[in-house]
Parts: sequence; C-alpha cells; structure tokens
Amino acid sequence: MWKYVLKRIGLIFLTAFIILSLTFILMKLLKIDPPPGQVQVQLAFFNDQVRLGYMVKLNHNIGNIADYIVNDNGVYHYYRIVPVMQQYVNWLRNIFLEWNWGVSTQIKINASAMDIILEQLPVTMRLNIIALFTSVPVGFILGIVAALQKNRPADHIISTGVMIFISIPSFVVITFLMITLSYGLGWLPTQWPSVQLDSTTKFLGYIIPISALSFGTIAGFARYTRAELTEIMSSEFLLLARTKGLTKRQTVIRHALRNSMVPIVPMIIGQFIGILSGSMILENLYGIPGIGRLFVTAISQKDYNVVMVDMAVYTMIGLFATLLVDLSYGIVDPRIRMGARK
Amino acid sequence: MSNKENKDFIVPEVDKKDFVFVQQDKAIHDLKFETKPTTFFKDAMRRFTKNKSSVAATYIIGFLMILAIFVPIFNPNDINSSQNELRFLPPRINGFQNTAIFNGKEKIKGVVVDMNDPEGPLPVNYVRTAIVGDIEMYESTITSASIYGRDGSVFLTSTNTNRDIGYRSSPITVDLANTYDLTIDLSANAALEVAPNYAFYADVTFPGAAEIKTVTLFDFSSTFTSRSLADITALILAEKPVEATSDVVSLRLRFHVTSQGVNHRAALHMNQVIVSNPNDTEDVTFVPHNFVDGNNVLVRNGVAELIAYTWNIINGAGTTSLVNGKITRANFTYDPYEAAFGKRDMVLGLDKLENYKREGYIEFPDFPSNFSKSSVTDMEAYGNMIMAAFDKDAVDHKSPVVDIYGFSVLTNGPRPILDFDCQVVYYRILGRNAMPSFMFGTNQFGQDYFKKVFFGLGISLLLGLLAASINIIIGLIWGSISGYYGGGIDMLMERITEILGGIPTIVVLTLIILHLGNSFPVFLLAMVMTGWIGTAATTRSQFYRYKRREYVLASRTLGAKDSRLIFRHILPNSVGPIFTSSVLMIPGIIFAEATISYLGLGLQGLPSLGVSLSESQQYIFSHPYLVTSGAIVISLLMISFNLFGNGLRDAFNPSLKGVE
Repeated sequence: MWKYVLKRIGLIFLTAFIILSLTFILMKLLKIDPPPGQVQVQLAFFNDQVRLGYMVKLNHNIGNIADYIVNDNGVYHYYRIVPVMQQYVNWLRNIFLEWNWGVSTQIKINASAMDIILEQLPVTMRLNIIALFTSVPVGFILGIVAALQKNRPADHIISTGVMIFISIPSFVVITFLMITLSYGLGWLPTQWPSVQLDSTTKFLGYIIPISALSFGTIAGFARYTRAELTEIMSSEFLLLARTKGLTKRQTVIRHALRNSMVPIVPMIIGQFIGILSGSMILENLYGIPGIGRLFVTAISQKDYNVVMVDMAVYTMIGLFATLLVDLSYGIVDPRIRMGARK
Repeated sequence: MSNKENKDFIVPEVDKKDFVFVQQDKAIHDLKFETKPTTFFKDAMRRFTKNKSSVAATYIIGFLMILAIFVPIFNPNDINSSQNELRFLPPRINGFQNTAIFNGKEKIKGVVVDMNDPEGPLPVNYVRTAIVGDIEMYESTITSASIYGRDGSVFLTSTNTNRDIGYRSSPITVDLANTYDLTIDLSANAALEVAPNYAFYADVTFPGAAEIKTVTLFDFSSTFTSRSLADITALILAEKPVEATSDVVSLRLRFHVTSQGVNHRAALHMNQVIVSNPNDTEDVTFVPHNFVDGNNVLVRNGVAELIAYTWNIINGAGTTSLVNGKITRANFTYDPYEAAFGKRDMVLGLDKLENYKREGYIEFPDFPSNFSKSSVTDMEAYGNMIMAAFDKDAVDHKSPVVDIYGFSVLTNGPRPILDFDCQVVYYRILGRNAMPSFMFGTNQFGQDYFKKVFFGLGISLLLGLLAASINIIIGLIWGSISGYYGGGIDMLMERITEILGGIPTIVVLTLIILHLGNSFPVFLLAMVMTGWIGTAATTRSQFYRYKRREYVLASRTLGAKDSRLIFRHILPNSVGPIFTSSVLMIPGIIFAEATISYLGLGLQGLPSLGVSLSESQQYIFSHPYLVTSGAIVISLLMISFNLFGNGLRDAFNPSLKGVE
C-alpha cells in the first residue's frame, strides 16, 4: 500500500512537472506586455526579467534586434527576449532554487504573482469547502430517501429535481438566483459584499454563491447515493439479513448504508474539483475576489505570469484530488488493494 | 437420480410403434428461425422506445435542432447590424396583448417626470402615446443635477476653518441690449449660526477687449438672505471699455464667502440665483430656475431650453452638495412596441403621398393639368387642395398615413418641394402589415433575440456534433489500439492520456485560444484536444472486457487478422457504452463553450448561444427576459441530452436500468 502511494505521488509530481513545463513554454511563446505607466516601474520590471534570465539587456539596437525599448529621459534601454528553451531552463532554476514564479505585470505591478494568488486563494477555498460541507449531507439524505422510497412520489420528485439540476449549467442557476432573490425580491446583495460592510450583509452575501455551487453537487450526490443504495438493496446479503429477522431499518443502517459508502466517499473528493472549476464562473458573475476571477482578469489584461501560477494551482489541486480519490477507495473498502498484483 | 429411485416410477404400457423419429429419413439442415431475428441495435431500439422520458427528450432535441436550422433561414430579422430604435423591446407575441406574459409591455418604475411639458407631466425619454393607463407619480429627492429638479439648494462650504471660499459659474453669453435683474436667495447654515458675509461679482469679457472687467454686484458687507438688484446691465455697461466692439458679452457669475471668525467655516446655502429680464418674458436669457447639484446651477436659456452652467470652487478647498432637491418620479406601464412602431408624426414628401394614393390607401385630387410644378403659388394651392380633400375618417384602415395636419413649400432648390406634416402608423411606413413582435424580445443591439438564440444554438450544436464525432474517431482508434494490444504499448499510451487528462479543461481551452485566437476552427481544436480521452478510456475498457471472449479466440484460431478481430468481433459488441458516452459528450462541449464565453474568451464573429447569453448577462437587472429565455433554451437542451443519453445507456445495457 505505502509503496503504491509513494509511487502514485511520484507519478503525480512527474505529471505536474510535464504539464507545467508545457504550459510555461506555451505561455512564454506569447509576447508579454510590459507594465504600463512610469519608466521607473518599467525598468524595475525589465531588470527583474534580466535577473531571472528571461531577457538580456543590450547595449545597442543595431539591426533592430531589441524586443523592448525603454526611453528613460533620452537614455535608451534595450532588452531582448532569450530563446524559449533557455528561458525554460532559467525558470526551472528560479523555481527550484528561489521559489520565484515571476511578477505580475498588470494587475498589481511588480508584485509577486505567487503572493497575489495566495492572497486570493482563501476566499475561493472557503466558498468551496462550505459548499462541499453543505452539499454532502443534503445530497446523501435526498439519495437515501429516494432509494428507500423507490418508485413512489418522493423518489419521482427527487429524481426529477436531480435530473434538472445536474443538467442546468451553473451560470444559469446563478443568474436565476440573482434575478429572483437579489434583483426581484431584494433579500440578498446583488454582489459579493466588500470588506467594509457589516457582518449581516456579509453573511447574506454567502447565500447565493453557496447555493449556486451546491445545487449541482447535491444533485450529483443524491443521484449517486440513490443508484448505489438501490443496487445494494436488491442484493442477496440484505435478503439474508431480513430473513434472519432484522427489521428493515436495521438492515438499511447496518448493512446497506455502510456498503453503499464505498464508491461515495471517493466521489466527495471528486466533486471538490468539480466545484472548484464551477466557481470560476460564479466568481465572475457575483464579483467574488477569488482565484477564478483573478484568472479571467489576468487573461483579459494579458498578465501572463499570474495566469501561469493560477493554472499551476488549478492543475495541482486537480491532480491531488485524483490521487485522493484513488487512495480513498483502498481506505474505505479494505477489499480493494490498490496497485496489487492479480 | 439413482437407479433405486427410478424403480418407484410407474411406467405406463406404451406401444413400441408409437415411438417414431419425426425426422427419421429427413436430411437435417439448418432451418430458418420461425421468429424474426433481432440484432443488438434493434433490441436496443425497442428498449429505448419503451423509456417515455427519453423518447420525449429525443423529440425535444429534434425540435430544437429543427428550430436551430430553420429559424435563421426563415426569420428575416437582421441579427448582424445594430438597430438603435429596436433596443430592448420586451417579449411579445401578436395576439397576447392582454395576457400576463408575451404582451410586449413593461412596468417602468421610478422614472423622472418632466412637469413642464405643455401636454402635461411626461416621463422623460418616454413617448406619451405608448404609455398604457395612468401614470402614478410621487415626490422624490435628488442628490445630483437634473434639469427636472426643483427647490433645494447648493450647500457651499470650505473644507478648512477660518478660510474663505469662492464659487464661479462657467461663461454665459449675454446680450446687454436687454435689461436684466438679479435675485439672490440665500440662507445661512443653522449649525453655523452665523450669518455669512459675502460678495457677488460678474466677470465680464467684452468682445475686442483683452482685460476681464470685474463688476461688483454685492459687496462683502452683504449679510441678507434674499435680495433683488434691478438692472445689473447698467452696472456692467458702466465698466464697458472703449475698445469693446459689441454688447454681446461673455460673463461669469462669481461668489465669495468669508469665514466668520475663529473656528467657523465659510458656508452658505444658495437657494436661488436668478437673472431675469422683466421686459421680455417670452425669450429671456436667464429665467428663474432653481439650481440643482453641487456643481451645477441650472439657468433657463429661453423658454424651452435648459442649460446647466457649471459652477466650480475657485478659491480655497471646499465642497458643494445638493440639499433638499426635489423631483417627481413615476411608475407606469409602457408599450415600447407602440413607441417604436406605433403612431408618430413624420414629414412626408408629395412623392410618398402619391405612392400611397396609387396603392389605394388614401385619396386626394390629381395634380391639375393647368398647374405648373415649378410655380410656388401653384404648389401651395395644390397643397391646400390636398389638405381640404383629405378626410382622416375615410382613410383605409391599412393606410400608413392617418392624418395630414399641415404642409410647407420648400423653395431652396431648383423646384419647389411640397412637404406634409403627417401622422403615420410607423410599421406600415416600414412596409409591415402588422405590428412586429419578437417572442424573446430584442437585445442591446436591437436584434431579434429569438433568432439570435437559435442561430447561436445552431453554432453550438454544430460545434458539439463536429467535436464529438472527431473525438469518437480519435478515441476509438486510440482506445482500440491501447486495449487490444495491451502490455507495453498500453502502458505508454495510458501515461500519455494521463498527462493530457491531468491538464484542467479550462487551462487547455485558454492556452489554445490565447495562441490561435477565438475562431470556430480553433474552438473545434480546443474541444478535441483532450475531449477524446473519455471515449478512449471507455473503448479501452470495453476491449479488455471482450478481447478474451471465446468467440474472439475461435475467430483467431481460424486465422482472422487483428483488423478483422477488432472491427468484426470486438467493436460491434462494445459499441453501446462508447456510443452513449459520445452522445453525453455533446452537451459537455456546448457547456464548455458557453462557460468559456462567460469567461470572456468566447467565439468571435460567430455568435454562439454562450456568447449571446453572456452578452446579455450585464442587462440581467434591467432586462431579465433576455437571459431568462436564453437560459431556458440551453437548460432544456442540456436536460434533454442527459435524458436521451441515459435512455441510450439503459437501452444498450439493460442490467444498468434504473441506476442513474
């Protein structure tokens, strides 16, 4: 088991390394815009680029070989971008030796891109985790109710709701919540409340994002739980349990539920990635200052270093979630030996 | 069973000849089944048609596809250019005028009312004839400049204590041939409890004179709250320099407020500043009009025209704010279709009227043969003849022109031109037979949103279908090779898909779009880039499942080649789940495309459903019907596709039935 875990972790780092390398090379092929504004700011940026090894400073511009020219009161500074593969080598050195992921060029000029991401990560994580913790129990209960009431009105209502909420895109849900609850009835803020507002407004501000993130997940859990439980309810060992005299309640709680957990627990982790990518649109529509909104802002402003780090965060979260899903199978169900030979 | 037990059976006596072989002398060949043979697909189809919700979903998908194909072909409305007068028309279907929805009317709330309109109070920027029912008016306060505001005052205050403050208007052009009176209405701030001292000047620039003359209207000893000064013109003319060439001058009104001792700020409420002309009430340069807002004192220029003259703090640091400004607002039901296409006044030339006459809508006498088209008097006489003959009660009910109430003869050109002031039905002028109606309303560019949505749906579906088919082909090939050969090849191919699959979709999409732009082929490429991995995985697992089956082994022992085994034996058996996962891929692609549009990287040039939806997202508050109709269509599509896919899965794999 431990050997398998270590092997998987090693593989994940290798995968992440390859993905990030590809991403870096592709990003660096795009021409980066120097920060706007004052010459001093621009010079600071270019000198940092030279120090990091992504550009070289030229003494002259004979034959127009410079990619960037900065005019500092008549004194010209010329900079040339080094070849991509050389930048790549320097980038690896910067990350492994200095943990330097480059600076922001537009959003917060010359601030470390990593710092900007870390500053905005908590909001996104908080929303996602709250959404996960609300949707797991609700979805689980709905699924159990539907499975136990199979083919009765309660099941039909839940199943229809599940079908609808699984299908409807998250932006539609957000839009409808905003139209009805914020604009129509005026109960909730129309935008993510800013830091200065009072705590009641802040609390109310959580309702739309959490519900928008939860609906799809609740539907997913309910559907999965119902499917698993239905299958187990019709299995022989439950029949055996009933025949030996257990009540239905006892069989459900002691035997059915426990067994249906096996595929559901890994799914909880799997859903986390789903919520995370769903929150990108939510953050944009509701004006939440998280990494999803940052990603879009960075792309529209061509702040490629920030985009790069943001992509790295999303990739790493995705890869580790996959790993956790795989490992959790083995933990939840001892019969499954991950990586075991036949 | 043992022999012992057998003895317990009673064996009846049966004649030996009754035991005859039916096929004793027949040659036994393969016989045809008496029942009809069924194929895997036919069987699946039979199961699929039993699932009612899936069948319904199939019909809905078919219906949406038909709409997506035929709406753009048969709907003539323009969805490419911008048509300003059709902006934001609410949803309307002809014949639904009195229902709760699709009636083409909207409830307007809190609109500023112009109380001075000659025909009675009128909400600003709305057409009177298009207002349905009564206007419900209420008093409201304003804090910013409006020419429809009343009362209130500008509160002018210095930021620092013990400092003076100055306040000056922008230049106003004044003809000094008229006589003007000045009225000032001021009040002190009760909190300050000190009557302010101030001075009031006019800074006059005479044409031809370089120097700006400062005329003192009130001096610093002034502490009154309201006072008039008759004939300020004389005061200004007294300062007229000799080199001045004209009496039409540019002047700025200027105020200075002094600080009233220690720890007092210079502060003052300006209730009114009125410059009026007592002799000429019809056309005065300034007319009493209470100001409004911290930076604007509004002065009426002429009877109809209101011009806001900007006032600025000029001396020291200070702030201005509007206090107790009042304005009337209204709630009412509005019919924007009536405003855009209903009755309106228009000037029509004689040619137009003659056209309508030829088409039989209106009647008037022909041009008399003894008249000349180049004579102004003859044209005038003809105009009068038409006016006299036009009977507005007798016009055809389909007539574009319903009333003619005047005419004019233009004589500038080589020949006189006869123009008529008419009341017209505008949609008839546009050549339509009925009031146009847009089922989903119109968007911010005045484009028919119904056509826009279904055109976009067509683009999205095309993208989904194309990308799904390419994904199936790549995934099938990749998955079959990986699954069939297994071993080292499988390992290598699995690692490649693992890495590709590890990149979040959003990252793949963004990178490709940033590099190659956002055109349709690039989107297709982006959707294909990692989209095939799912199909490949399903195919691979299906191959693992079937490749060791006996019938495959049998075929192999008979010498079948790999390609025959794959395409003839394994693939047909494993096609069910592969097909199902591919169908479910289509809504996934449409969803991904819509998502990327919402993130601002949508298709350019070809408005897909996602692009149209995300464009109208910012009007969610003012015009929610746009987002609503688009969202309903995309949700319907997604739900139908999911139901359809589930039905397919159940049909191909009956053991999974009911497991969702």
